[in-house]
Amino acid sequence: MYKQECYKIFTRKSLYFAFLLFVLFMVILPGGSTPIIQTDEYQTLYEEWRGPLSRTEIDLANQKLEELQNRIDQEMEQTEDLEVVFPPQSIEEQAAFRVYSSVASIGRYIDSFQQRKEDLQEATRGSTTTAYESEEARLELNMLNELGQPFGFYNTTAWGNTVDFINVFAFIILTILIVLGLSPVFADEHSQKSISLIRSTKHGKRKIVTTKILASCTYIVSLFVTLHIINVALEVRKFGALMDGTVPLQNLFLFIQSPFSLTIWQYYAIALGIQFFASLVIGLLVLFLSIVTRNGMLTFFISGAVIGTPFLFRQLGIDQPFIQYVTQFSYAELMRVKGLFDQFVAFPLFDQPVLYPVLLISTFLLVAILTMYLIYHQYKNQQIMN
Amino acid sequence: MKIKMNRFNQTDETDIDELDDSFDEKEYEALEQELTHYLVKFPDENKIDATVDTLRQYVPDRTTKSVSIRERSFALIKRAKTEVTIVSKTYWIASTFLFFIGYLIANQTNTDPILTLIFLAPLPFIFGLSEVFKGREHGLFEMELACKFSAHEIILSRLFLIGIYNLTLNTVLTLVLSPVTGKPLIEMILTWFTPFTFFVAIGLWLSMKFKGQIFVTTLLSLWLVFIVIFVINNHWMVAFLNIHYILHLVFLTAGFLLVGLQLIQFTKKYQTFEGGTRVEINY
Repeated sequence: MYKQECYKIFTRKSLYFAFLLFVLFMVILPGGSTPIIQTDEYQTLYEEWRGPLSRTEIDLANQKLEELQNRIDQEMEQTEDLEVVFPPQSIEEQAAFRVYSSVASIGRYIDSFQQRKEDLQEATRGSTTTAYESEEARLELNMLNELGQPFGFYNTTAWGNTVDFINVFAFIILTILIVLGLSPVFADEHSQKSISLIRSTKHGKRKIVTTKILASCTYIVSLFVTLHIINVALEVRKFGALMDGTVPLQNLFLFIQSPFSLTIWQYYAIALGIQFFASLVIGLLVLFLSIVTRNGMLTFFISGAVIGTPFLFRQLGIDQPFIQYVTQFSYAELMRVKGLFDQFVAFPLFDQPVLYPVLLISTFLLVAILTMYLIYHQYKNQQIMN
Repeated sequence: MKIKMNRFNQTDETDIDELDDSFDEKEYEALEQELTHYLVKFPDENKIDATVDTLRQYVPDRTTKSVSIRERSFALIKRAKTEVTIVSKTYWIASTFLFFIGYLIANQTNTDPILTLIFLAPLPFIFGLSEVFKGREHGLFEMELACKFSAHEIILSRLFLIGIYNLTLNTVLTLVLSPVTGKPLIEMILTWFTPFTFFVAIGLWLSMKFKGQIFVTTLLSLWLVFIVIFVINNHWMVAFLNIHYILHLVFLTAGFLLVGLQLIQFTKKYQTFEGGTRVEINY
């Protein structure tokens, strides 16, 4: 039974065709580190400055940056030719400019981080805030205090790309291939008129559904693992190695405002876990629609609309309060993972602030259980019409 | 209850053994004997030839040996008129609705209207392909082959129909949006026409490779990923939007050549079609 169901999914050539094309897209996509980073001058300076930064170091970097700027300004006045002078010509100057400006911007992050803490301290004292708001502020402040001072000067482009893959390409490719692969699982038996034959075997409806779900999970697992292995391999090929995975998450550009005390490596593991869970939930949704609509194409469009519409709202920047709720609690947001961790969001639940990721994951656990129940229920009570 | 359970388990395990037990050799032979009575004998060669010869006189002569391309294409366009009713109404309405939504999105300030146009352009054609092969999907292909108009003619006229419809929609949207962008009309048309021809070529190719609704969904996913990559890679997008129009024309001719090549292959495939096996292969 299980073997046959797997066979039905895995022998579809169009899936391999689509997957290979997507991988091809991933390979030809430009990326990789900028040439300056690979020079020896940059590397030596980088080794010198790498690590957590103290106040004096940041001040020193700001000072050096200012000197560089002044020199460039002077040269610009002398030559009056913008093209020649900016960006600075010698590799040493380019490298130095890059390092100092990065350090200076990290200094700004630290300042805004401290500012945020002070604002929250104000809010917890609560002269102008409601009880709930001060509760929420206290929660965030506790999280930020736990963080300590996460910022430092690290070259995290490789990790940044690897993590970024989850919320852009893995999100889209996985969603499409899951919808593409699973929409005919139940529907094809209607369109190929084999349903009455399958139902009349001795196995019974419950077992058929179970094997179909298991086969779909196998498909999702193999898809997920292959895709992420290919991605890591591509990143390693581009950057040489994945360095500095043990530094705090806040050193990735996308997660500067994140309040979670995680290292990059831990975040990557958690994000993969959540995305895998999301893939399974989406798979269940597609299977359910496949039973209800009895038509592969209709399943494709409906599940595409269910997953895509909130994403479209977000991309178009429509943010009425209600639609914002819809986008925040959508399949797409769970699948992208990034939105769960990149800033502090909490929702009131019985007058207590509950963290958004916790709420979202538990909501979708419920949704998954409900869909599972509906799949069995619907399949049990469905009549066959030819 | 216990006995019942046991019996169930037994049948589960010894399914094939049980079949062997109930299989009786003698009974089978008797059945075979009985069936030979009903055997219809194949007629001998002479009889077949004689029948064919008698019937030959009733076959009409081929009147016009070769029809010029002009006449043929004219007949194709004429036939397309009758196909309008056969293509489902949902398709016409859905495509128009899609372009209406496209117009609304394009009018939002934060997106480039030309991008919306590029992305929307091949959609009606992709949807339309499923309408074109409706007969094939429903297992009516053999019937279509036996009709007065052969299958490839029907398919070609439907392709022509949805192609024209698609182009009309695109042109209308271009005309409506042209005041918003302030770009010359020719440039706008060229910008969406090039990717459009390439997608049409890919779509035709896929429709020959994969049977069923699979190819429509596959094509749609490809289109989706193409868009996303386009949007993410800002410099690709900028480069594409600012290509010189001569380069556009070169790409456009390449696209047209591809489409023409696919169409020729198409007619070849469905003209010299024998037996049901090749087209009926799934996926």
